[in-house]
Amino acid sequence: MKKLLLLLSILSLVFLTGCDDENARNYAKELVGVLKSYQTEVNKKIAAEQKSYKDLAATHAYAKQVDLISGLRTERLRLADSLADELQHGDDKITPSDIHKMVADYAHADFAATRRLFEQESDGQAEYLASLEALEMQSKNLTALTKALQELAKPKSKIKQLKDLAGAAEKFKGKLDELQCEEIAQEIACLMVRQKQISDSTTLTDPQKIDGLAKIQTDIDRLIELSTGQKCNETKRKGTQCPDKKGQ
Amino acid sequence: MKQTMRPQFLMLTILLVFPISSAGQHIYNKERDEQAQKALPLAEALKTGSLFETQLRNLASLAKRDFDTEFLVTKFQINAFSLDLLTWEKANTYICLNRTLRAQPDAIPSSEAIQASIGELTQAIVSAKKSLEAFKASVKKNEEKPDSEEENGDNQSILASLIERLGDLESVQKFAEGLGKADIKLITPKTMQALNELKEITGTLKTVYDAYTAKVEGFNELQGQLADLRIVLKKVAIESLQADEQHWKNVTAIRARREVDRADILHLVNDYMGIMRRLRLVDFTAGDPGSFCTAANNAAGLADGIDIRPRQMIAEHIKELVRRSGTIEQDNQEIMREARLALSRMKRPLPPSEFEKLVTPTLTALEDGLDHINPDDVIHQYELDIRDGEQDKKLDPLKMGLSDDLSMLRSAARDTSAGNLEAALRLIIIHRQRDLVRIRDMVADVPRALYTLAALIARGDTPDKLAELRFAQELHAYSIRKSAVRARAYELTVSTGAQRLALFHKGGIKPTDVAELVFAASNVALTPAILAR
Repeated sequence: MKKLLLLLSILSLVFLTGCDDENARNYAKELVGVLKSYQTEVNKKIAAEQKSYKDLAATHAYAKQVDLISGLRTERLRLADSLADELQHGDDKITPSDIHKMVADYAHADFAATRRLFEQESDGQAEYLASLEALEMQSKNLTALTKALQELAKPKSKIKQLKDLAGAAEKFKGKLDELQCEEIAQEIACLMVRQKQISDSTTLTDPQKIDGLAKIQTDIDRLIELSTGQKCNETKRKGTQCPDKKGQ
Repeated sequence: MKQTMRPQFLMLTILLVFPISSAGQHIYNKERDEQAQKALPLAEALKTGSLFETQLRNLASLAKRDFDTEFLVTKFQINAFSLDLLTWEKANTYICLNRTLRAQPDAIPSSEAIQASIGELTQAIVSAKKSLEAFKASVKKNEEKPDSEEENGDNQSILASLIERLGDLESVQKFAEGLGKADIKLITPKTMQALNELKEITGTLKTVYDAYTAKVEGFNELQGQLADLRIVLKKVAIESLQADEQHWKNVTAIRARREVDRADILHLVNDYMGIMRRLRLVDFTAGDPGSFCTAANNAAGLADGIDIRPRQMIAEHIKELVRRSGTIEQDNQEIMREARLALSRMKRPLPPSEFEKLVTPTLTALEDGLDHINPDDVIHQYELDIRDGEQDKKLDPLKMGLSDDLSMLRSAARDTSAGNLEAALRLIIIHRQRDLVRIRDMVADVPRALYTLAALIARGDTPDKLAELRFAQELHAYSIRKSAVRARAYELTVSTGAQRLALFHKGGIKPTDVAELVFAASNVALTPAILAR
């Protein structure tokens, strides 16, 4: 019976392992396809962003610069005209300190206005570049992920499959034996509980008690023999308790 | 026996049912689990950035501080110079210390010379692009196999994707085109230097492309086990070339930016020089800004004799100019008043014999006005009377205008047509009104010069100083990017398993050989890049 069970188990494992691996590989393969498609889209986006930048950024930066510089020029002319009117038609005389103040005030204002312009990146594309770099990084991530998934999608070699199968069967047998030992230990523990109940019984006569205890002991001995044959852990067996329902 | 068999029956039932009902489940595989788990941190690590990205961020932060320091120096200069500004001599000295102006010892190039230089640059770009095409062909060589495995196909697409990002020299071309279209007045000797620099950079790029092509051709020759490394080495070579190309494009952008900023500064300098010329403070050759400083130094020294004006306080100069403009304005008002009176008297019919008597006060006012414009006293170009050169007539509108009006009125007074005389008087009023505007402009020239000077103090040397800082920062950033490419090279070899192959393959290549190849791929153009700088 056990040999039949083991044979069935191995056959099931062969089927199960093959099925599992193929499904996983197919799943990974599908994911690779999706990722590749996504990566293509990301690359297209990068190219579109770059083109967009080239077409517009230079114009925007130039317009901004012209606006600032021509605005400052207009402001200088306005200030000069205003001062010329005051000089020509006003009573006030201009002093050297007035000139110092006038020059310093305008120079500081001009400095504050043009500083940002000077500080801008050489090609005025820092912000664009930041977003493009993020996209490039995303593309690289996708490449790495695609590669990892491709590894998972690769079929195992026949030897590797057999090795995996042997390993899985071995692990399966080990677990099956462990479960059997546990089951036997619980049966023994429950029979011992039953023995105690018979001993403590007030309704049974002594002969009945002796007969009952003997039968249970026979079962216990047989189970212990089976446990030893299965190479079950003796300490673990002795420490096993009978589940409540089994003792009833 | 019944109790012993229970678990077996249970297990048998599970085993029979399990494959059918639980197709989605799988047997645990430690190795596969590890492979799958590795994908996640890989993506995470790339997202969070690497050591080199941190270094570049730190560099950007330091660059900002460099700029801040430079701007602090400019602020100090604004305060120091504005307090020191008393005479035009000081102002002219400051202008002549400006780097942009000092950096123009040569004559302004002709538009033909500029167009020829742009043509040479375009040719250099075409030549560089040809070299790049040769590099691309070399990369594709041996990689286009129709029966290639899937992985090889992926490598091809990665190589193709990497190559696509190379060779964008549009920014260089656009800069050259921009210079070609620029107003000829804004073209400076520096323009030619900038074009020559661009030609040198483009030439360097061509050298870089050629060097990488030679290296990749070497990779194409790899045989046996080393051939497994070919794709990896090509990837490294492309990424390294990208870093080199980006560096030279950044250098181009820095220089182009400097030229654009310099153009604004030169515009200001030209404005200032024009005013100095109108105020007759520096008598330099028109159209030759380079002669300005020579003339300014001569005027400040004794070479042109003792000239008082450059040493005169600006405040005093303004007073003198206002006073002078007041006199001219008064003369013009007097001429207009007399002309209007004469016109009002012409409302009743007059015989031609009375025409001359009618306009005599106007003629006298015109003559007085002319007398007041003494070439020895004039302090503005508007007042000058230069009759000799017809071309210079536009430079002496005030006296020329008065002289022409005087001749016109005398001629009309001798005529018999009352209509002609009336027209002449009306024209004189119009001309005097026009001159009032010019006189106002004359007074406004000094404040304009001062405000232009203030703008130059605020911006003066900044484009050149910032370009120097940017260039130094770019060299540093380039070094980091090259290190990143080198690190990436080792990552690539490890990730493709080539190194493992080298280590474990029976009788295979040594790891040191792999390291040498990878290093060569990431350093191929370092030498020409350094030489060209």
